[in-house]
Amino acid sequence: MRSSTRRYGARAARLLAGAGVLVATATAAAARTAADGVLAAIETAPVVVIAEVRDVEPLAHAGYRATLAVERSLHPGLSPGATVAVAWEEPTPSRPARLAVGRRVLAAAGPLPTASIWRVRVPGAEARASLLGLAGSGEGYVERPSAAELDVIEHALRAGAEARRGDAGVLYLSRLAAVGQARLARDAAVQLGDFSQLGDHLTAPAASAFLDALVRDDLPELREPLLGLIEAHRPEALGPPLRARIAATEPSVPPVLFVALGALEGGLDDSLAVPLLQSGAVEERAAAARQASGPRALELLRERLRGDTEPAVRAAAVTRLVEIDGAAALPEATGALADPAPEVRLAAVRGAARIDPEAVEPLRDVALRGSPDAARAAIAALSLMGAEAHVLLAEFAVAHPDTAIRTLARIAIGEPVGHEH
Amino acid sequence: MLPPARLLLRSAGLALLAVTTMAARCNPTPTITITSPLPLEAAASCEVELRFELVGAFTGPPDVTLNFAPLAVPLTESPPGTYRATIGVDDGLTADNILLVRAIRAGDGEPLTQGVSFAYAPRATASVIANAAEGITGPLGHSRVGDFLLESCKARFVVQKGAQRDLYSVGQYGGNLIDAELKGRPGLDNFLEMAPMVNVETVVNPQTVVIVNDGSDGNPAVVRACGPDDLLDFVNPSSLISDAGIPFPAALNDNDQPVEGCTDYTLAPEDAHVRIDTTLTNLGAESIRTMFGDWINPAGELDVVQTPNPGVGAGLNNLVGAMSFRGVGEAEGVDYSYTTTPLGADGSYVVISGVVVVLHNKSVLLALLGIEMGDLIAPGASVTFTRFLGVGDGSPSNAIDLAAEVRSTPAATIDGCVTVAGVPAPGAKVTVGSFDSGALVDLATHFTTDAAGCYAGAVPLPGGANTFGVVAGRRGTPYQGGGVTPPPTFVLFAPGAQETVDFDLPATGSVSVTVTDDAGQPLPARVSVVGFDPSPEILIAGPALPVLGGSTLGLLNDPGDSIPFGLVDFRYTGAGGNATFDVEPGSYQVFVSRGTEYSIASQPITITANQQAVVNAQIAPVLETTGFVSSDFHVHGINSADSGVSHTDRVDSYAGEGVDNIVMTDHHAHTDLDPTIAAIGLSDWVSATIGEEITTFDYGHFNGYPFTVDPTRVSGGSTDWAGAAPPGADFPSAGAFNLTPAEIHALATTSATSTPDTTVQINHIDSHFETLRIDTSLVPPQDGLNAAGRLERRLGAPVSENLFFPFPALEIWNGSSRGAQSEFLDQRIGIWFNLLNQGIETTYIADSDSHSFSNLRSAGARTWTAAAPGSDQAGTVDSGEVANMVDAGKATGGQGVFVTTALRATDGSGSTADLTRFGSTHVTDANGNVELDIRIQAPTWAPFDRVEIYANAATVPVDVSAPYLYGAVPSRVLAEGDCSPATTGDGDFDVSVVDVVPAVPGASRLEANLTVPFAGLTEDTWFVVVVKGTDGTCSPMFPVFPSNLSSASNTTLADLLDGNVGESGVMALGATNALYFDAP
Repeated sequence: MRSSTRRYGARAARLLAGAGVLVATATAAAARTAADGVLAAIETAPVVVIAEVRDVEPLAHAGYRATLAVERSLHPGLSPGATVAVAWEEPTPSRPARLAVGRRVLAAAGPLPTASIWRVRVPGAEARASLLGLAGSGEGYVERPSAAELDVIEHALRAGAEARRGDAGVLYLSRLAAVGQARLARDAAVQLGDFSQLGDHLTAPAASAFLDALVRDDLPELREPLLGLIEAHRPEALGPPLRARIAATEPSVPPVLFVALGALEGGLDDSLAVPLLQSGAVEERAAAARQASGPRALELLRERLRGDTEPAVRAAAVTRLVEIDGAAALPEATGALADPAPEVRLAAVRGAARIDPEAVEPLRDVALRGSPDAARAAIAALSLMGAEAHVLLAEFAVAHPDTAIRTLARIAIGEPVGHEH
Repeated sequence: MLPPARLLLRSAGLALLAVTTMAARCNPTPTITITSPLPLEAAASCEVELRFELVGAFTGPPDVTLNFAPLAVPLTESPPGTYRATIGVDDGLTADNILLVRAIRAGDGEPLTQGVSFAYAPRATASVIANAAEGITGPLGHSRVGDFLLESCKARFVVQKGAQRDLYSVGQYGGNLIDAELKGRPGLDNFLEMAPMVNVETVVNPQTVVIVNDGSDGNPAVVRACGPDDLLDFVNPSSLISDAGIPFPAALNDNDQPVEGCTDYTLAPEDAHVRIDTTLTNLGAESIRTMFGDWINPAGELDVVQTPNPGVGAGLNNLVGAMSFRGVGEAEGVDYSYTTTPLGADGSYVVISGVVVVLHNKSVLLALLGIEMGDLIAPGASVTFTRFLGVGDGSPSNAIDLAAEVRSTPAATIDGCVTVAGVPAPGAKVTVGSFDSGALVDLATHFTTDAAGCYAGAVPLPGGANTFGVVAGRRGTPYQGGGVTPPPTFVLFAPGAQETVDFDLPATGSVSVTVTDDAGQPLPARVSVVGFDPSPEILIAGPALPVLGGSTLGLLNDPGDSIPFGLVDFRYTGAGGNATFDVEPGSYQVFVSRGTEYSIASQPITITANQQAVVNAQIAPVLETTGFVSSDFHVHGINSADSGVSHTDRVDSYAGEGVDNIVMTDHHAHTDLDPTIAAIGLSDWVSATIGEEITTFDYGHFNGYPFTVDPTRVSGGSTDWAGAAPPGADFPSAGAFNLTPAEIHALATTSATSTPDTTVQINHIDSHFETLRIDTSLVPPQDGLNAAGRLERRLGAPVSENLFFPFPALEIWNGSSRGAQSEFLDQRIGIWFNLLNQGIETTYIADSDSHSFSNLRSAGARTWTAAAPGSDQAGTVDSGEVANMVDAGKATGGQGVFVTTALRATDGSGSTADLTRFGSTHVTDANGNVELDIRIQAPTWAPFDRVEIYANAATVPVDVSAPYLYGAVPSRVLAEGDCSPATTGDGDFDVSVVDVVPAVPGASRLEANLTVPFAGLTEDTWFVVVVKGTDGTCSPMFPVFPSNLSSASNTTLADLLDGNVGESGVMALGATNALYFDAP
């Protein structure tokens, strides 16, 4: 047997696992795993209590220990009035302790981590044995939990893990996204993304809660992940409540609902998009620009791109024009490379880069004859494109008359820059 | 519930018991006893010792299976009947294992079987290095006592202790990953450092490093380094971008953010890679936006292989896929892998001044243009980013494997072996990728074969099944089939499939060259094989590469440091005077040379397969240089961020090029070559001086020598031109600025590692005068940098403070090429003359600024300085004297030409100025009448025909609107005629041929001795002489100085050997320092 084959045996076994699909090892990074986050911690920890933080003591190397006076336990075994000692570490030394004395918290805890640093922080074995670790690498806590949050969480925990993988889970997560504070709501939105067949589990109550989450003014950052779910799954169950919600909120429909409708239906037709594009409200114009699909709306998109005062609208317009018209939107995409607003130029860069390779020659023109900002943005767009674009970048790296463009082109094709002595 | 393996054992064990019992009744003697591992034992180490005994008579060897597969490691038997094996981490061990030993009993042929079940739980460890022997070794092994060691079953990594500052590439702070090696492969560390990047221009400056997990719990070992952000002084991207005319985003420019960072280095027991997680916390009251990534500088003797890419070499894009830094030369057998998990669509990188900066979540272009902002971090919140650094056995495929693994990319696997005429070929290269019309267009993976000539690894298939071509090659060996290109073997790869592709390359030949001097003693020299490679490295024609002036990618090798055109290969003969190496069958011309001072020898050779051609060559010194020593004052090696040349190669090359003194001037590092010189027996042939290129990013490089080495610092004692500041406060906004040029000179000459003789020259002077906009035609010279420009360069000096400082010496000529000669004469010489014209007596220096090995830049310009008797030979060089002679201007430079001058008074006083050790460079004459004696020597292979005399010469700005670079107008020009010594009287002077060593063929030199009178001088006057060979009239100096020869007009061996007049190449050139007439 060849030595290299032997050497490679273990890794080959991993590579071949799972019908040829590589399986990441335990140490492989994933942007987020099921074990991450406050919600996963609450769902999996053996101890989940509502408690008041009695004292907080710093330990070595950014560690902390706190005593929790239990008000109520979500799992059997701990009575009101009992105390629980929990420990955790902050991610960096100067970050303040996450639990503050006197604060009411929902806390999830489990065994203290076995990492050796805990022997430094808490030297005695008995002392360590009396300590629990704040679950989820310290993320397992919720400050000042509301009654609504607790209600949702308690129901979900009672339902059990198996049920949470079905309709009940989608309902629970949707509700938590709708009523939970930021960390809970964000986690809930992320966990909704773990459902491969989200539409199959989106019941009417869940759809309603989902829409509640979508229109939360206090957490606008929820919108993108939730809209992404709509676009990815197109859940039929969302249609009726969404249209009803739009009808019910006329004439002050939250613009995000129009975006949601467009995402659900593959675009907004002219009857909806045109008046929105002509609206005086920036959010409405931007929402319509994201989802417009009718012929009249496309004309308006071009107008908006040329004349709207709001960068968000112009950015959405150029993005949508490219999505719908492809290469026919090249004039708009390359024209927007000169937009004074960076976010519009960014949208134009990404838009033009999608029109590959048709955009290469128009981008050459911009790079040679456009304004400095446009020419530089053109190089950025070319850098995101394929082989033909790289041919042009190589040419610019050597022969473009502008030093700035030559430098950017060199960077784009991986050539070293700076002093080489 | 028992794991499946144990259930199997339980049932198997019952059966075994029955067999054994039955056997015992029939014949009680033969038994199998497993003494290690013990049943149900948990092996916590990385290896499991197998030991068993066969008692009694058995037929044939025992059959051993591990988890029902044949044991992958060999058994040893000692004493008879006792068998042992060491089962390693890659030999099929799982968490629960069954090991079965089966043997056939003699006589009745009955099989006996014995088994054992054992657990396997290897551990990684983290510890503090308590003694130096625990550290990682190699050319860049920098671990010290107190650093932190992470160790798995496969690899070891070192994280430097924190709270320290040592200005040295990207590693100016502690707490970073500095060393890595595979276990069992000591002495190969070629990894310098990587540092977590924060918001482009800053890094985390760890003040604390702690062991988070020592691994005793069976989980991965973890070391954590924490600290504030501080500027990475080594680089300053904002000035680079601003100088290119692009407004740099203010948010990224020297921005002191309220950020604290912690990096966890995590090593799992069976991994050869560290997972690196950096968490940044916003400690401020406002949200911030920040970029994050890494500053990476492997720096060692390493090639680059990347994907995605259309070939082998540095990426032709700026996307972060898999990055491999593969050991070459002395570093063969090690590689480093870097990859990230995809955090966003735009992760990208840029190479700045030899180091790689990776932006994890953004496009470099969009970020630099300010189109895309950093990630938002709310007050008190944190963000974490992840990447991986692996160490391997030398094959770039390790990086591709790692990236596929951590990114969960679908893949097939491939393995195979490469042989040459049936003999295993270690170090062969195998490329797998997409081919279009026979040309590689997309690299899938790339291998270096192992010691057995074999290879194995993943073939990523992100788009599903794909057909790839597989090609193999080996330096000095024909391609499979004997053609000029390697024929691809096409294979359809499907996810999960295992494919095998073997190669058998045709037999090759070799040459053995022995070089002796005029005394018949072995001589260190260069052997150059001139001709054309029958199986040339295939360069990738790729995206518009011709407009870049040549391919930067290869089919089988990274062509980054390639051999000059016209040479098939070259070697240095070292102290033994011999070089033997593979050369493919064909016809060539072997040249033996030893730089400017020696004659050359050449001989045609024909190589045939499986045969060795033998060449015995004799060369001799032909120039009279007594009283001078030659130095290359600007040399880089493996300790520089942008050079990968090993100490051995450096010493070998300079000994072979006949340079007496290597002034080793690594960026931010003090390198002592003396131990290497002694170790390879070249102490009689070359000396070394410890120097440092004090490398500011954007206002010049300042070359100090001689220095000493501070062994307590990794850098050896670098000069901290950037100025230390308290942790978290190294920002201009906190009052921390870089040193001015004058301050740098003062620090360099008074630091703890300076000597009384230390002097400082400005290197490649345009990078100083241009960047600070110093107009040397002004009296005094004056910089033109406004306040904003100064702040951009992190200089705190007010505009009223002139940044010009009269350094003792200027490196005006650096390099080995035509371009370097042109820079010297057309753009820089006038800067020097401007200073001379206003009485600032500065010494000019010619040297190589060599960073590479194969491109032969070390055979570049050099400077001879005056030396006292006893210190004017290699091996006797006095570094302090060399520096003193630089300060005194007693030096002359050249490439193929050695020219000296004397300026004689004619008033009968006997007063003379010259460049000698004990002479004076100044002369006076009561009548203002002097005579300039010019002695020109060159080997016969370096013809010259033109002498230019500059006397208080006029200078000419290259660009009148930006008067920082200057050429000059010669005061007098003398021409020889036709560049042939055979023709006399055809010009202003004649050149004679002096047969220096008649016993050695060709040991002659060209010589001209001129006397030029200057009468009626009424003012102080300086004199400089430049000697040239004229392009188109004289032959270039190929192959001694092989750069720039025209490939279009040289397509055959005969073409290469025809003198090459008018076919580009490098022409002979020499220039003196100034002699001064002082007006009475």
